[in-house]
Amino acid sequence: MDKKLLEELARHSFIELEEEEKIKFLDQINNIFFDIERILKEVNLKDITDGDYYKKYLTLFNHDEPEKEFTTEDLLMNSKNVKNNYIILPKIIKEKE
Amino acid sequence: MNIDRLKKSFETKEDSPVKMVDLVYEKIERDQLNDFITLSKNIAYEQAYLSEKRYEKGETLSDLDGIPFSLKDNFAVKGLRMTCGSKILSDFVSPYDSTVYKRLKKAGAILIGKNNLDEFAMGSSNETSYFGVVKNPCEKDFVPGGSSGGSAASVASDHSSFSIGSDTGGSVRQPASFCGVVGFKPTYGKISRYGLVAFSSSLDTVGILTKNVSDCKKVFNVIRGVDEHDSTVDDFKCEKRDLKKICYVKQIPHADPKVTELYEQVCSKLETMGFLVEPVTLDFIDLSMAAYKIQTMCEASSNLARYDGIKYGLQKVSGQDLFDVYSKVRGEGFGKEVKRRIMTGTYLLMYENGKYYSLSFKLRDYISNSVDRIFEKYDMMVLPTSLSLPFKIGERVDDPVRMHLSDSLTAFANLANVPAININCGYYQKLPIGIQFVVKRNDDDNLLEWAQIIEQEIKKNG
Repeated sequence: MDKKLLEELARHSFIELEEEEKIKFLDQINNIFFDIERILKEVNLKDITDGDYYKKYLTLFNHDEPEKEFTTEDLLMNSKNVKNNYIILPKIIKEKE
Repeated sequence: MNIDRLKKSFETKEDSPVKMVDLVYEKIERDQLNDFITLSKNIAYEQAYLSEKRYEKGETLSDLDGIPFSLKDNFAVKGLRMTCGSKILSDFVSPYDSTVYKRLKKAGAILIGKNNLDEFAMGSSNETSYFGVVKNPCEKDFVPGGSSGGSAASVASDHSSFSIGSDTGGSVRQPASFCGVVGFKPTYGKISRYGLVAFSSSLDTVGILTKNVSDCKKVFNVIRGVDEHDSTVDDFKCEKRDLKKICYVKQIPHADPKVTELYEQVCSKLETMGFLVEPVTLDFIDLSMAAYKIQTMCEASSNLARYDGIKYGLQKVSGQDLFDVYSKVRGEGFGKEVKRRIMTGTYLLMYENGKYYSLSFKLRDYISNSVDRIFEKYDMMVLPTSLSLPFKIGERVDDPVRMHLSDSLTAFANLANVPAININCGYYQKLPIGIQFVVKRNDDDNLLEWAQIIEQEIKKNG
């Protein structure tokens, strides 16, 4: 990964980075990647086939009914920019440059 | 402050819940460990007063009536601040109660406060919290482990009798090991996650930290079970059976020799207790680290997308447009560890159309099947909880690869979805060393029974 790709990732992740963070993260994310790739190179992935673990254990869903538990006040209690029970947003449409 | 002793002292009027709350707050103030982000004094005194009345009338609600406890600050309590150790949620107040809190409140337990943690439960040392580092009560220059470091420190230093934490890759067991307390991660789906802030939803498990295994059983029995708000929870209880065969790992690469020495002593002790103890090879430890990193970072990059500074949390209005506001809020509100994990997760999801994320599911299947095969032959597996002793504050904070090694013996239990418990088995100088016991999926009750027998034997012999 190079600095350009890191900046692209930061844009996709909606995270504004300081220059100092870019230098540090570039090194650290590359190290994390190298480490993952090192581990994966050591195994023969052809031997690893899909099992039915997920089907058996993580798709155990009970009924899930929506309910009205919250009032408007509850839902807006942490919002700082509210008018007539609506949250005020910054402008969404960019002005033509 | 073990639960039985405390309850007896309330029953005999030797002590009272209100006096106990006074003492706890005095001790928190005196110890200065930074193990709490928010103290819930109003709630605690109100609950203590009501509990005292129940003791007077002899109408207590449960084994936990009047018992002081704490919650990791990623669990919701209505009207209380819930920060997740992050600047982005530093003034967020929860509009509802988590199921775990609701059940403990109903049982008469007393909430002392919300524990410090690694930011959004991402970390192994409690150094990534916006609210500062937690000190290890056993040796204050050392980390308490993480991410439930505040929870472990509070139980170890008698600031609470038990604490509720979350364990995604070892976040309850590893700090329990570093602080010398019990840390239990049940099977995924035994305790409701409703009101627990999501980090990696397919791995996040509610865990329990206590002084001993007996207390852990009591807490588990109060908070477990089906919840209409979490569709993944079941009521399944295993059939009781005797512990006979235990396996251990003969060679553990990168382990501190002091950890290995104690581990070998524990294995010998298990043999003298009459169990059949045999070695096994775990070929999936490295793989589990790769799968764990890929899954948690990818899921975190998705789960944490909700923090955009619009509806709640850190809110800034200045910015060229909406996306600029998002970037500014998230750039300022998240700490370095969280930003790094979100971006790595985003990259892993984008890289060759999510090749690694798809692969991580295959790896998880492989790890699960390997673990299942071990438990076809053995009732229990024993291995160290952490490769190392607690380390000094600041020693690993800038080396994520080395820091992630802290989870290398614990993450497989989350990936394979099996229950595991840490028990303190000794000390090197003042630093605790924990040993982990793991059993097959859904065998939680047997694990607690067996762990209690082993704990008593270890305590008996010093």
